[in-house]
Amino acid sequence: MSYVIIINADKCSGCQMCEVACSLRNMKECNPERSRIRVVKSQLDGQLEFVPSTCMQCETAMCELVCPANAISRDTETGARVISEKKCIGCSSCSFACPFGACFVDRGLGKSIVCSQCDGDPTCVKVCPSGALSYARADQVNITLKRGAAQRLISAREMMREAVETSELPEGRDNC
Amino acid sequence: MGIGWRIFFFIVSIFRSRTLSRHSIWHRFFTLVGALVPFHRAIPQKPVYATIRYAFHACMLIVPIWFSGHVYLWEESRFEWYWTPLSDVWADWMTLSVLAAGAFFFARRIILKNRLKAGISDFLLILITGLPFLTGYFLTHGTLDSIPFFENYLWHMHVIIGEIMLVMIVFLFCRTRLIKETCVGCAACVENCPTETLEYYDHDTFRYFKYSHYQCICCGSCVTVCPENAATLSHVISLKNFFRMFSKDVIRNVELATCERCGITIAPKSQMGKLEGILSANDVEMALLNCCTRCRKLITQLH
Repeated sequence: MSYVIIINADKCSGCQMCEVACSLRNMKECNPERSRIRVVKSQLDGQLEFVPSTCMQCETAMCELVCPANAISRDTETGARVISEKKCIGCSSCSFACPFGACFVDRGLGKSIVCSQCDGDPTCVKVCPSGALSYARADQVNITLKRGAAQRLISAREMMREAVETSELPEGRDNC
Repeated sequence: MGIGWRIFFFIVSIFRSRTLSRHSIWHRFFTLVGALVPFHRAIPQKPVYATIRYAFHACMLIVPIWFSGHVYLWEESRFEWYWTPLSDVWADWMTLSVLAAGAFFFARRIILKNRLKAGISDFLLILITGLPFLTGYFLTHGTLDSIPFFENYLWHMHVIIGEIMLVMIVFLFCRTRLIKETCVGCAACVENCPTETLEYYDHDTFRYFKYSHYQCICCGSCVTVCPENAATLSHVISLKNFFRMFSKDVIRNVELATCERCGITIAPKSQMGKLEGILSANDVEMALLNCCTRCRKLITQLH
């Protein structure tokens, strides 16, 4: 049974704890550049937004298709994609094929690295203080995502009701 | 002297790049030893060619050093060095195998002229290597003694062409080439080069590959690792390279594709084209292929 790390970008506060923890656990050094989960900062209409991003464990993985050395495979236990360090030649084909920009060639190793979900116990999920990351079974993802969307809709409605009562429109990004 | 110069600057350049490299000096040493030992990865790929190549180079080294006539010359010289010579039968067979392998390489160069891009220097190289063995073989067997010219001057010819070969060794480099038609510029060779002989840098919308002649240990890592089979190692005789101890040549440049949204460079255009081809062959549609990784993250996670 495969698991995925679910990202709720709205909750992310941009503290980059996940990057620090990931690089500490997997690379044995505190270097967010070498972390497998990255928080991207973007500025839309003057408002800062933080977007964490990591491997989404695609069903049809582009990285697996394009790899010329057949180095990418599925872990039998956790169902996560793993890149064999022996087979990888560091051509960065996978990083250009990945629609999420998740895997990349580490300059220190010369090999491509990707989120391995820490052997079924993701460190980033454990350290995330704002609850933007969660770890769930792949067949439950849809339910979780739907629940999140429903909650966002409810909160947006409540905000709109309050705004109508006080005749003030809420600022910021669209919440519905 | 020239060989000493080469070895000295080879060692200097190897140690010079050590501070930058992720590979330890021991890793380099083991790659060099691994490349010298036969029966490594090149054998299963091209069994016949690799075996002939090894036999050719081994015999070429053994015969001139352990041939009995040469050993006696060393003994008579003022150094009075002596080591056990090879038996004449063995030396004969080895010389013949060198000649046969040389003829094979020569024929191969002629037949596969277009694929190997053989120039005049390639043929000259094989000729100069083969001629001392040919003249030496005739000398020991006296095949051409009936012709007066060869009876008198074959000895001189053997010595002179042998000297030419020794001088040529000084200017002989084994260098990596990235074939223009097939190389996509993915830089896998750079990532796997143990001595940082190959390097790349991105400037503007181009990626440049640099190569330094003195650092290369001819281990063949780039050849075995290249996913496109675009890297080749080949001999080159160059007077110019001999004096370029630390400089690096730009041996190839590829154009980089730029991100549609933010305009920064992502990857070589040819590599992206190749990826697109693979994905479309597998019926997978890729919408964000022209975006950089950062824009991809933003687009996929926000909406």
